[in-house]
Amino acid sequence: MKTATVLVKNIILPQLEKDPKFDVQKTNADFWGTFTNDLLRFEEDAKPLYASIYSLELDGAEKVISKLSGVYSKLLKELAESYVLGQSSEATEYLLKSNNDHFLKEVRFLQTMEQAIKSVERKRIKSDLPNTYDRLAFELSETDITNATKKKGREDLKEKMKQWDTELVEESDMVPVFSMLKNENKNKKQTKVISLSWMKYAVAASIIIATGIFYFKNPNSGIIPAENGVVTTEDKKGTTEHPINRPVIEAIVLAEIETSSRSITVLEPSSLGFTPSDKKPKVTVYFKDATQRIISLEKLIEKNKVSSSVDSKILDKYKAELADLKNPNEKYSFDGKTLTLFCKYDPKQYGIIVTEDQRYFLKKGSVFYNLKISSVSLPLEKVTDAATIESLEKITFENE
Amino acid sequence: MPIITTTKFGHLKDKELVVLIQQNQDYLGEVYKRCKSYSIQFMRKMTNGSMKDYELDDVFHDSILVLYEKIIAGNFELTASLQTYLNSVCRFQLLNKIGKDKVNSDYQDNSVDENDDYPMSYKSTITDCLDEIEDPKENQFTAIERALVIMKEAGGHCYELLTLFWYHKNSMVELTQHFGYSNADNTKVQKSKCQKRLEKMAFNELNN
Repeated sequence: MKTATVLVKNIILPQLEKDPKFDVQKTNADFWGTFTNDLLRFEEDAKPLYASIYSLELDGAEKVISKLSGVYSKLLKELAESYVLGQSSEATEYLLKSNNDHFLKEVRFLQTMEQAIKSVERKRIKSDLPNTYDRLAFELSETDITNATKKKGREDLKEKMKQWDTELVEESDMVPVFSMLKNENKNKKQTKVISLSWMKYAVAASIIIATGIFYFKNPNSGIIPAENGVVTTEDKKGTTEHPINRPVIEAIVLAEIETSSRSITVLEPSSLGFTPSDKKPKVTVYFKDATQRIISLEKLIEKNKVSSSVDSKILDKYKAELADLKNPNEKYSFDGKTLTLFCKYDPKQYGIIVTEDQRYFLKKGSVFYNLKISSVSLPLEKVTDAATIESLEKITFENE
Repeated sequence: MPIITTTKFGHLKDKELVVLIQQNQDYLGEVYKRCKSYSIQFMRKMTNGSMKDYELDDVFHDSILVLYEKIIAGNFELTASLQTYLNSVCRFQLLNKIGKDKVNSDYQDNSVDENDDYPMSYKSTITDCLDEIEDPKENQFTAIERALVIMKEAGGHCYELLTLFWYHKNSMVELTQHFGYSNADNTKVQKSKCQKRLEKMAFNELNN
């Protein structure tokens, strides 16, 4: 019974060791021999097994006893697997002789599974044989790699040049009032992005009108640009004209932060049991993409260096906002149901995982981050603990 | 008369190839490329052209599988050249398939037994053949087979993990290294989860 005894020890010892009163001295070789024999007869008569557990004088003997049926089932599975793999033992002989239904069922399943795997793999290998040699002999020469890189590099550069050409055309077509927003989404696949582009034009138009009226009604007051619209005027040197007659040279509309959302199913450990996909918890992820906003802020600040037309207080505010948006430390806010990320819309890259102890994690590519429920934005912190990473990888793997 | 096939790994000796196949199944491609032409010629001669080329191809593929399964079983010892071994396995499989009566009688005289240098030789003592899959028509078998195909197409590690363990006979340590798990116990847990998943999928297939 040596094989079975080793298996039994491996299965039950971790359970026993959890008990504060467990004394390893009470479990000698004889104890394990008897325990294994009794466990193999668990279905016929479980009393001797209970007696063995009580003899250990544990604090939670009942708790261990309640787990014995699981231990028995695990042992039979292990023995069935070793039997199917051709490792017969005294224990498997006993189970075969006693026609143990549980064991025979396991053996039948594993044997059929082994045969099915053999059949599928043989078919795969046979169909793959003619290609195997090519795969083995395939190798890229230095020249191939260089040529491919050179070709790709040239194509990329050509693309860039085309983009520059388009930008040049746009600049030459510039009119006094222009928007810095680019309708980049035109050719993109339809997503759930909420377009606010009409708002920007509306805001721009209203600012121009309001500025005009303001000048007309109150010629001596200063101009404070609205939050997202900056109207700049250029003073003509030495002019004594009434402000109403001053031409509006250009109005710069700052781009909004684009918000897109996607509902993502939370990955749970399999130990939490099977949940139908429609009942699995979900988290709505809001992606706040500030790329366009950053570009427009940069352009505004750059232009202001030349014309100094924006009020210095407002300009400082924009500078601070730009610095905050360009901060390399990614931030998030999470309330358990919604997650806001300050990054480009790319839901495929992200996953949300919850552990058994209800801790939330964000998976970005192959990197995991802690998610804390908080009303304020927090910087994303990488998970560095190897054990946590492993258990998160396990959950991801189970949910594949 | 000899067919000269030059391959990238032509410099490898047969016994070296056997060792490499154990580590990387793709080396079967070298054996395939090296031995196929002669084995097919050998079988054509043996059957006097009574079998179609695709049927002979199938027998040769099975012989490669016999060789592979012998190698991964761990106790394979090559007692002849790979060409002679494969010819012998092809011959034995053909004898089982078409019966001794239908084998070309000239072939018996022309074949040079025990002469290992001759690429059309075989050893009558080699009687290895592909074992039949048991109960391929049983419901449970079909359900598991279908579940495996679904599992494979779905991606993920489970199909690879199960086939590497049950068919390619990889040990827990090898699997641990292959999948980058922290230890063999963890790999064992993953394998048992994959088995449970397969069982569930097969059960669903059985009841659909």
